[in-house]
Amino acid sequence: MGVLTDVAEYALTHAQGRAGADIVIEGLPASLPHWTQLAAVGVGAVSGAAFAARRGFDVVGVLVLSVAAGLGGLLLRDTLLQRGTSVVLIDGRYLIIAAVAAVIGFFFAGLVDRLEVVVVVLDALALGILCTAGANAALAMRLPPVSAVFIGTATAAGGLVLRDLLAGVAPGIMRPGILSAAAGFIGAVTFTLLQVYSPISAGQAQIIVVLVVFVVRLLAVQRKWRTRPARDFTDRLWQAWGRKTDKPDKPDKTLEPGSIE
Amino acid sequence: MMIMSTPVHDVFTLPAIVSITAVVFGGLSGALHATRRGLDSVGIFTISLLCAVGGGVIRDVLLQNGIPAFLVNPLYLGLAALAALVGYFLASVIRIVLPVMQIVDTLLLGSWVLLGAEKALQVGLTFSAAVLLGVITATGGGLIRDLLCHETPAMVRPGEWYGFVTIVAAFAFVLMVTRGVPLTIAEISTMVIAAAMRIAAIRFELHTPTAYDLWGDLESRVSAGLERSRRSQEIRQRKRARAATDASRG
Repeated sequence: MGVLTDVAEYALTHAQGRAGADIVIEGLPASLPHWTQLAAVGVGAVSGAAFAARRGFDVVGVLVLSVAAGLGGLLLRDTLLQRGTSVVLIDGRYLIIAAVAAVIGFFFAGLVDRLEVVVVVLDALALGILCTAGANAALAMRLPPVSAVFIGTATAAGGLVLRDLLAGVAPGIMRPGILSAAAGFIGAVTFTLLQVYSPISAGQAQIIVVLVVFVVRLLAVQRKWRTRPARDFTDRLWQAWGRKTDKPDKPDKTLEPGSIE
Repeated sequence: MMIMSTPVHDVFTLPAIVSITAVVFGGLSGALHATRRGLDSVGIFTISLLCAVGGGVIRDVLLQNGIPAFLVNPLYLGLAALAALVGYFLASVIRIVLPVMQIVDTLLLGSWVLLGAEKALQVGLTFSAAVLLGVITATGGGLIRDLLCHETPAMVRPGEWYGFVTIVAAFAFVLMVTRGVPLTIAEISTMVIAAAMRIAAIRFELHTPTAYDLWGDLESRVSAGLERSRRSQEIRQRKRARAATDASRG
């Protein structure tokens, strides 16, 4: 028991040892308080852990997927931005949160499933926080707006992708379904536009974007907005072209499966 | 953001043989896995190379503390390529010496954890980050191998203790070092812990537990208890009613 209390004490003191709240990003204008990011990571980690528990993975699996789902986005951001060792590794609180989330997922996956509404709401908030955290870091490094949009989306969706990859399933964000990564993309675009074309501060922009993403995500869940699979406009394009050049149906014939073989 | 390497700990001195054996073993096991899956030469080389350097690469990319070690020191890639060649041409020889390899793997698992945890501590990372990097360095190669073979990684699937051992070993090592245990003793005891756990896992077929639905369990117990009390209440009421009717008749 003595060892355990030692560990807890050590974890608590050293979690903040190297990194206070100042760790976020150097030269970053005032933004949402740091604990929002920690909370966003926690939400992702809990859903990742519950996902693993539902799929019948073991302790290690739950821990791995909790870390992947919670920290994947920020790890991806920091790796792409090459700002040095990731915030996630320097600030010990992130990993401790992921570990606690793993414990919750391991024992209370049933409860997490039961509280689906709460999870959806928290997840919608986390999505907005993460996409602004990504876009903000990219803009603070003076990257072009397009890159900021990409980094923002990657930060919001990275955890989901990494989770699915490690769980051995095709990443859900790439299949047609209720928009989640798309909501992150919308948030990243909004944030970048607000930062580049309007004088408001990063903190205000973050609050606006978090609200926007929240509303979009909840509407998407409630109205069952779905991202669609690819639609092939080739036929219509050929037809339009054919009408203009007075060669109807010819391309269609060449596109028949039999004619190709 | 530069991280100053704080001289909290002594200089970490793992002999080079540890990382070399890690690379060779990763390469051989990757090649073996790939041949078993029936992949072609390109597949075998890819998987073997990535399996050999995988853990270290993930560690170095996450740390962002300079170019990954396997690119700086040509020995690693050379050995990995050699292991891939051996795996490609001499797969059955490897299969014969497989038991020996497994024994060495068991004995050295702890040292592979050290490769990651020590580097993290050297850079001055926190407790949990050092544990994570230790685990990733020891298991990253297998993780990449399984992902490339399109399988659910063995690490997350329920099974014999392996990833679990690396987690415990990394935790123990970082705990010892941060508590001021002399480095050599910490290293040796980490390797002993890891080897002992692996041997115990193989000997007694210890498997990691899967998630336990504590909430559902509590819920069903509570509902069962409620049901039982309601039933006993009913029985009591019925008895009382019967007694009342008996009394009125009597």
